[in-house]
Amino acid sequence: MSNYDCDVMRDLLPAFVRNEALPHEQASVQLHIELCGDCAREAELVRLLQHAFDPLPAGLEARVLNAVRAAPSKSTRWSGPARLAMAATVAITMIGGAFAINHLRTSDAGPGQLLTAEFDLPSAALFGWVADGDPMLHGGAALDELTVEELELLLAELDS
Amino acid sequence: MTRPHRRPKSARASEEAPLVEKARQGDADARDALVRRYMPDVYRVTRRILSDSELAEDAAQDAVMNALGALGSFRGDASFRTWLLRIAVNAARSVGRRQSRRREVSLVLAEDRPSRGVDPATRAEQVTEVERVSVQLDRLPTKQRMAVSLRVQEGLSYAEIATVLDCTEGAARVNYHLGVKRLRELLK
Repeated sequence: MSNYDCDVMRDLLPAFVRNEALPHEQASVQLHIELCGDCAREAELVRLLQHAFDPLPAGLEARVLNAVRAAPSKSTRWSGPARLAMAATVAITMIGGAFAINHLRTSDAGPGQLLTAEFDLPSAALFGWVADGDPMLHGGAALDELTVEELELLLAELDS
Repeated sequence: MTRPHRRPKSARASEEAPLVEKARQGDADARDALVRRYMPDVYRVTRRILSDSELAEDAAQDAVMNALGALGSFRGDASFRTWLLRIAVNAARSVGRRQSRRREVSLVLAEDRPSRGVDPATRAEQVTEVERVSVQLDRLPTKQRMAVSLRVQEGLSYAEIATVLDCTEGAARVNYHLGVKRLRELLK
């Protein structure tokens, strides 16, 4: 009985005790442990190890299922309520955009000049527009001149 | 005697692919089926890492929630079960670290932790052989304990153990054999 044979057999023991090894491997291991006491003792240990765990606690599966079902769906298919919510969002955006257009002023400089809205920053942010007084619009602001709120708005714009 | 050949894909592994795909597309029944199928495996792993059963339950729930939330990123490089068990290991470690910070006690991953509140020396004679093995398994260093548990109880190959424990296949093999050897010494 070579050490190599024992190494090979011991690698197979977990599958062997579960009766999941290939048929010729099952037969080889069975024959080996009948001849090798050391490997037979290890096979017995592996057999005991197979059962040496705590069973699933009562109620855990149900608790997890409830949590999974209560979690927001990550499906790419839109559910009924999700469609309504999306439609409402689009409607608000369109209404807000129409409201903003009514307040647009044009520049005296002629074509190519950007249309801006006379909103303050928080109102502009509500509609996702850049406000007239926005330092980023005029190119005069460095990032370190922005307030925390302005930085957060900018991050939100970049992320969207 | 030649080394064993690669095993054919188990029936269990070939059944999981369509279930995973359906769950990915939002099929609630498929998602529930995955939970029912793998909950015991996930709990066994978290319980083997955390000596506190309540923490292990919390970690198991976290693992399942994280996995279902990240189904879109599952690429199928490993089996779903292997991927899920890796998430379970990470969830257990995360819960253990949080608990450790809260209680300022040593993280229950060390080999000298009391096994489930039992003194191995005094109780060994009173318990069954299986319980005795379980108690000594808990005394192994974490990597050896996990390699033994994943190999014997979860039936993972060394390559799969390496994926779950984020180590090399060689390290998985060495930790398994060292773990078994140490167990045999502890059980003498």
